[in-house]
Amino acid sequence: MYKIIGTDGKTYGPVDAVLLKQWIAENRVERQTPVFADGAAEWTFLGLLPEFAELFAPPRAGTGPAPISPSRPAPMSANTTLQTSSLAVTGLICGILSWTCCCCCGFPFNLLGILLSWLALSQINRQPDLYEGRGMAITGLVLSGVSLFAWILWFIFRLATSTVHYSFQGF
Amino acid sequence: MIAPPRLNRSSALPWMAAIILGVALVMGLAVLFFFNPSTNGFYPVCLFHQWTGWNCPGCGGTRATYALLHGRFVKAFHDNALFLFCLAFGAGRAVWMGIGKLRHQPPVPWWSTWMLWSLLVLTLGFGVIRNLPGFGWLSP
Repeated sequence: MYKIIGTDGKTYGPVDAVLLKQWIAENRVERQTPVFADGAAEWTFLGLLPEFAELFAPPRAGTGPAPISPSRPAPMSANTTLQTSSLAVTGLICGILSWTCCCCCGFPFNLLGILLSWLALSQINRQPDLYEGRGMAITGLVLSGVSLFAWILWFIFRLATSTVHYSFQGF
Repeated sequence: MIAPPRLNRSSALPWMAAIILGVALVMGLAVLFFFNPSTNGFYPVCLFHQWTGWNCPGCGGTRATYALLHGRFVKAFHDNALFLFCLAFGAGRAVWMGIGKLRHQPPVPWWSTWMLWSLLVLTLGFGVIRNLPGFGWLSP
């Protein structure tokens, strides 16, 4: 028997494996759904239980047939269901954009990059056996942070010079 | 037995966002097509360039797009080689994924980790190299 926590935050069950498999088929639970199996020591995730893991659609490097593509490395072992945190990926992209969209010192991207990388880091820290991408998140955070610092410096510089300019006009 | 609610993954929001972004992109390209960024002053200027005099990795991107829209590929390369490379790579990747889809191969994500890290290294490296003496052909 298993107890699970649905996306609404409520606990469901205990239910047997048959019903749980039906819930998987009905798209009510996912790999990240917290589950507590009878006799288990603590809560885990549904995707980490071997009896359910293969019922989910194959993840990036999953149990299905390996995609025929030279651009991807061979799948790791089927048990490693670590997925790269998409927050970390987006954070790193924002970090890179904050350095290439230089027209406004990368203004929207450095704030977004800091926010997303921060969220990614906390997500990875909270569920280290589900997500990877810590290096990406840290890189995105550093890139965005330096960019934001430069933007603030520029803003102060602009403020200072515009005040001087103002006083020359007689005000 | 009460069952947990269904996961709601499909939503109209991504489509709306895609349509709005697409319209904005076409409008931006239209403005860019008719107004040369080298002679019109209303385009945003690079503050990094104004401040330091160096070219940042994105400098010349607008001019490169203008050159591309008018079919001048060599000019686009000189304006911003990285931008041109990213466009070509993205287009190639899209074609590759399209072929895979037509052949009913399992879908692959449009990015992968090594691509992102390469992009980061390329961007930083390009930003340094284009400002070195002897690499003026990489500067707009």
